[in-house]
Amino acid sequence: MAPRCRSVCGILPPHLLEQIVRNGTDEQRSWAINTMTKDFTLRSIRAQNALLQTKSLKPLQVRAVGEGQPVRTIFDCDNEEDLRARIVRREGDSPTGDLAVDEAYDGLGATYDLYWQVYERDSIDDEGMPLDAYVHYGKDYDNAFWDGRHMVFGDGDGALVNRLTIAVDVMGHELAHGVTADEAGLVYSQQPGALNESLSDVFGSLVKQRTRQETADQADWLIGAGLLTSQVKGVALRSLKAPGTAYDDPVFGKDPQPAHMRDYVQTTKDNGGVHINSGIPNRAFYLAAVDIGGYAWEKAGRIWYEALRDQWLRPTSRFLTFAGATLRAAVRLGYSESSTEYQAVRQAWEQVGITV
Amino acid sequence: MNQHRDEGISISFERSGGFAGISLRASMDTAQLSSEESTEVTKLIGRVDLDRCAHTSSPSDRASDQFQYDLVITCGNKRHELSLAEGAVPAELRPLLNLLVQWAKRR
Repeated sequence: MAPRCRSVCGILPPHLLEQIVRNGTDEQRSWAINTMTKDFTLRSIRAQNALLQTKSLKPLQVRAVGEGQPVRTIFDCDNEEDLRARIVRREGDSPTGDLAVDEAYDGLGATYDLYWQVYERDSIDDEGMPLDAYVHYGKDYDNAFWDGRHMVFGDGDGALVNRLTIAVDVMGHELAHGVTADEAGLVYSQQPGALNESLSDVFGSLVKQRTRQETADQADWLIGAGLLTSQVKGVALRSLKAPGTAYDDPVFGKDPQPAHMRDYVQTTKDNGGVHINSGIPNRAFYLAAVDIGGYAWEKAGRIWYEALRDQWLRPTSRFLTFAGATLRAAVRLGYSESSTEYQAVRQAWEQVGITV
Repeated sequence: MNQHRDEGISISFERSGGFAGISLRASMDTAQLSSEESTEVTKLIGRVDLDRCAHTSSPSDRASDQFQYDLVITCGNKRHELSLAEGAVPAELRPLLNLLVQWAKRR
C-alpha cells in the first residue's frame, strides 16, 4: 500500500478556498473549510517558528554530529511502494556497493555541502534536519519525489528512464523542495508551483556545477543528463540555458518548456504546468549567472538563495514578485543598483519578459 | 460479476508531472482490442468504483514531483472523468494505471 503523502506544498490559495466555500457543493465546502483550518494552523506554526528562529531564541537542538555535518540515512524500499523500509547506510558508513544507495548518499552530501559551505545553511530547515532518502522505491518506478519529509527515488523502468539517482542534480532538486517549503512555502500549483520547481532546478544545477567545479560558461545547464536511456531522443529532461530543447522523442514528445512569458503555458495538467513554465525563471537564472560570470553558486546562486528567504515572498508569490525579491536580495548583499551584478539580474528577468 | 462485461469501454489517459515533467498519453477502446486485451481491461475496470475515485483527490494530496493522472473512462453511456494526484490513487486503480503507462510507452 502506498503511503498517503501530505505536503504543505499542496494548499490552495486562500481566495480560491473562499470561492469554494461560497460556491461549492456541501462536500466541497466541508473540504475547503477543513483545509482552511489546517492552513491557518500551519501559518500559525510557521509564524511561531519564525519568532523562535531569531538567534537569541533559537530552540535547543539535539544533533548526532556538529553543525556542518550532514546526518544521512539511506533506506532500501526493496521495490515496494512503501516507506516502511530497511536502513542500508547511515552517516559515516562505508559505501555499500549498491549504486542507488551510494549515489543517494553522495548526492545528499554534495547538496548539504553547497547549502552549508556557501550559504551557511544547516540542512533543509537550517537546524540540522536529518536527510532521509529512500531508494529502490516501487517496481519500474520512473520518478523521484519529495513527500514533505523524505526524498524518494525509483529505479526507472530500465527501458526509457534510468535509475533516478544517476544524476546528482536530482538529489539537489529534491532536497531544494524541502528548503523552499521551509522558507517561502510556495504552493505547488500554477505560477508559484512553477517557481517552486525552478528553484529546485536552479539549486540542483548548482550542486552539479559545484561538484564538477564548473564556471557558468563551462556548465551544460542540463537537468537530469543521463536519466534518459539511449532509446530516447534527448540529452536530458530540461535545459536552463535553452528551455524546450532537452528532448524530442516519438514517445515522450517534445520538451514543452517555454523560455519567455509570451509563451507561458496555461494547462490543468502537471498541477498547472509546474514542470513546464519553470523554464521561464530557469532561463532568467541562467542569463544572470552567465552575465555575472565565475562560479554560478557564488554570486547568482547567493542572490537567488537570499531572495527565497525574502520576507515579502508568500506561498502564492508569482514570478514577478520573486524577480523583485532577487533585486532586493542583490542590494542586501551589497550590490548597488549600478553594479554589474544588479544589472545582470534585472536584465535577465527582462529578457524572459518580466520587468520589475 | 463484472458490471462492464457487456459494455464497450473507451479510455483516454494522461500521466503528467513527475520529476521529469514528461507527459504520457494513451487512448484505447475495447472494441478495437484483441479479445484477450479487452477482457483484461474490462476486468481491471470492474475492480474500481469509478464514482468514488472521482472524489478521492484533493490539493493536499499533492507532493512535489509526484505524478498527476487524468482519465476519461466511458462505459456504455456513462462517462467518468478522474483527475488524481499520485498520493490519492486507490490501490484497486493502480493495475489499470500501470497497464496504461505501459501502453503509453509503446514505440
